[in-house]
Amino acid sequence: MASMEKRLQKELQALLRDPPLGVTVDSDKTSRSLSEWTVDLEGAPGTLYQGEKFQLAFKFGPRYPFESPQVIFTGSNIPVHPHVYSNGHICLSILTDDWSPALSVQSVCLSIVSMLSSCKEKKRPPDNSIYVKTCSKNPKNTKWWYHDDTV
Amino acid sequence: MSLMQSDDNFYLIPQNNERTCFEGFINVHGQEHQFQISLPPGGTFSQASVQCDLSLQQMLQGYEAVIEKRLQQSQDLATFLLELKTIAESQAQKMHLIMLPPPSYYKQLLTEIEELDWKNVSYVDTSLQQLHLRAMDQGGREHILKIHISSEHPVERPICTVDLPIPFNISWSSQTGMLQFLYKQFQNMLETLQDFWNQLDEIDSKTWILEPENPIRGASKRRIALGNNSSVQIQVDPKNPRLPPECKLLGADHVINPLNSRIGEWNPEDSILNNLERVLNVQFPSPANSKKEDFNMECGICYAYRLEMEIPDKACDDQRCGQPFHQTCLYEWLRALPSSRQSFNTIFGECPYCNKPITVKMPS
Repeated sequence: MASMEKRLQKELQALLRDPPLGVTVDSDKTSRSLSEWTVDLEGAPGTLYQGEKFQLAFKFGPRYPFESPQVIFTGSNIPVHPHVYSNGHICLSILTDDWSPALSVQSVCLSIVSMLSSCKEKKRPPDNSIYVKTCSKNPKNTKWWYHDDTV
Repeated sequence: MSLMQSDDNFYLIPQNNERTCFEGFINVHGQEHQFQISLPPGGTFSQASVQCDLSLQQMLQGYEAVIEKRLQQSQDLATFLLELKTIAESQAQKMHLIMLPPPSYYKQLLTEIEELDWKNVSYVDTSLQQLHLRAMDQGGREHILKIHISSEHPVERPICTVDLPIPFNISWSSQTGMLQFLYKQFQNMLETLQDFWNQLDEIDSKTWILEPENPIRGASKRRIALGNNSSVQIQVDPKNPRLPPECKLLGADHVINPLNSRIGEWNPEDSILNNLERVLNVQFPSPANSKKEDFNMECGICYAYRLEMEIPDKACDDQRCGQPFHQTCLYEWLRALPSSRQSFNTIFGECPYCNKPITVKMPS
């Protein structure tokens, strides 16, 4: 537990000191134990999401970084994207199967921004309505099929 | 009658509804002692009894009858407990007085310290039983000899605590002037260790020592930074500092494998530092041309340098990666992966950073 907090403390400091473009940590909404974070994202210029603002909720378990964080979109604006369900769940392999402790909050945020940026048509995933009705609250409990790597 | 009291003197908690049995703690000179009081039904004190824990019993030895009587005559428990506390405290003080050495002890000790010269005394406690003596060696290094003097001094030998790389075995006989003799033995010991400290001082000042962080005089091990996440650990023999030390190279294989040790070129006339540089054919990064932060690289998994006692000494062997990890962290990550393979106590997996093959042994 202590090593998880230490690492998150370092990640938070680095992100506050030197945030990448379009990524802002809301340090007021970050819990004292550092186990829950809120990160504001901005759609990259020149993409379908330009000018849009989104919010990501990170939840870290005591085994972080050996286990991936739980990451979902929250707030009023959930991006309309073929890999983002309307309840905020994200179908992104690095959040489950392809997670590695070499990844970080920053790299996850940048992956999500880049996932949005490469989108060519704003639409929900084809199984959105059934998934949203039946899924678990935690997207990590979903057995994802990473069927499409183009977006 | 106050049934539950909790102030600085004691705590008292009833153990049953009838209030015939109480347990609590009483504070005697800042230490808490447990006791139990039983009253006969009806709450009268005429047949009451008290039981104490062992240390309190020892303090109250010889007073049991008096205490029992006071309890039976007392009007309430609070008054009785205050009385008990007073008796215990005065007894404890008496016992302490008995433990102090006789006056002749102090007389003898003061004479001995005067012989030794007060300027060599760096600390003495109020009871004059802890004495710290200061000694400067030829290299201008200060050393402290901590002596716990026995009350039976000089018949019984004192207990010495020193910061030396070898055991400090003293010879002792029950004569006067023994403190001075002891101090002399300490100085002689320091003299034999001069070359050992000279050698290590040179290494400490001209290289980056990764471990121990702040070497004490008694430390004969050093882990010296070599750069590229590698280091060499040496253990110097305090009695023969110029002989080749025990060496252990740590780091990525591609960095340390070329450093094949040409131990035959070790020259006992030369300093350890020069010998190491020649034998390993390296130039140690020094405080003159580098920063320490360049060498204590953080673990790529937990982002810390120190994990309890461990430092990140397992590095990825890929030249472009070279990412260091704590053995424990890397093991923890690789063992849970379905793509890893275990053979005996070694796990074969992939570097979390570059996906090149990496192996790690099970932490012991």
